[in-house]
Amino acid sequence: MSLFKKFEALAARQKELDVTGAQPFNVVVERMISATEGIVDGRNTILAGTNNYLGLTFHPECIEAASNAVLSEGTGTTGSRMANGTYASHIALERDISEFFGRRGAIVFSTGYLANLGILSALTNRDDVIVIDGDCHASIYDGCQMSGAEVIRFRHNDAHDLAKRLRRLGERAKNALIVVEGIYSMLGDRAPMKEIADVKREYGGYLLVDEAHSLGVLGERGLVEVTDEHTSVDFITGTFSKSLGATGGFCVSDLPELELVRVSSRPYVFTASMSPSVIASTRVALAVLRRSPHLRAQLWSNANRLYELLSQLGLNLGPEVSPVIAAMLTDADDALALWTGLLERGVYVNLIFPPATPNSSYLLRCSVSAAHTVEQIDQIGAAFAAALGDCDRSSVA
Amino acid sequence: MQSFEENLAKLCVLLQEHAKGDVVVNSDTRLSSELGIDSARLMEVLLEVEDAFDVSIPLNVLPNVYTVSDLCSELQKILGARR
Repeated sequence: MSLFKKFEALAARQKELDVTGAQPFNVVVERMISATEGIVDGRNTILAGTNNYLGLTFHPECIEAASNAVLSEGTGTTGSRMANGTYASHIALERDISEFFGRRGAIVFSTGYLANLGILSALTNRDDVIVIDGDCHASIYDGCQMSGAEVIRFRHNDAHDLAKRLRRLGERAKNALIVVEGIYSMLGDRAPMKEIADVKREYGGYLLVDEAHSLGVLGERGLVEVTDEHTSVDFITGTFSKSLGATGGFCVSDLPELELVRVSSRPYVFTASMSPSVIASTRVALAVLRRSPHLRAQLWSNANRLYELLSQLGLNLGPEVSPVIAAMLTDADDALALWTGLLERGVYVNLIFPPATPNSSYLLRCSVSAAHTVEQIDQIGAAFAAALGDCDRSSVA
Repeated sequence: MQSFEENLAKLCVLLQEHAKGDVVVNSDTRLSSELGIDSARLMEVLLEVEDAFDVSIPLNVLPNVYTVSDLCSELQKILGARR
């Protein structure tokens, strides 16, 4: 059997896409213009699928800090945190994050993906059980797999189903690691934090919340903050690549054992650390986030406006308003046609196919930014309306 | 505890409800290719299987589960370990 036989189905699907001329998974932004605009296919395009929630990628203070760091500390660390890759700035960022979340310890990873991979694979092994929401991000699934732990999933956002799973575990539930997300990346819905925490209080175990999409979006710190469930949450992970406009990831906890992760986490040990410029812009972005509640207010105003516009078009959207606004379609060709129609009208959104999506749906996922102007939000809505006019709408609503 | 055959029969009835077309589910039916449902839907069906047997099937075992019989064997192991 050929090494590449497993790719045949993917290759056939790619060939179909090539015929249509659409390249939804190979979009090239030829030039960035601002946090919300770029040149795609030679066309000025509103970027509505970037996770750039607070629009900080072009913030002048972040750019200045990154520039200064490049000049003073160079372009990269060229080494692992365990070797030569821990600079004073890495420690300073960990101190910032720890203080920001009001937690005893913080560890910074090179990406958000690596934060989940690194924490889950280090905290658990084949003797442990991880109980995850079925809609958790791939980084959580991959971290679980890397750990070798027994992995059980519960129905998405269903605390009753979580309780059922923990009951079935018996005594083992007391040591299980439960994993949920603040805002889920596909449909933009948030975890029922109080109910999840109640289940944890009843059965025991540890609770990890990934605030990748909720940091700076729900309150300053995410879902744990706005639900006041600090004491029930043992670990918070997240990323600097969304609301903070850079790259990198983190985990915070009050448990002193977190420090041991540094020496036992392969994704922490065996990769180069964050570059100094990224550390610098992240630290400034965090300060901007803290002093700029108006950005969050603008983000939610934009999210409410776009959700309303798309609802009026009859699109089948996620269950609640959030800066992640996903239209669910039931047919791949319709989804591709709508995505292409949007791009031709100067609007980029994410196109996501099963199995990465809930309920085998085809998603056109928008992520709204505080940096989008009201005019841009209205242009996105108008582009959807026009593109829908060119499509078979049977799979849309 | 129910026998393997009893659980297999229960499993076949349950999976038959979700099978597409004229597939007749039996112990040799391959879950990923013969039920006529995609992988995401299959995961949903497995949630129903778990409820029907009041067990949680670890994701770790699924790569080695090809047929209905394989799935039943895993269920037997979990049910046996719980006794």
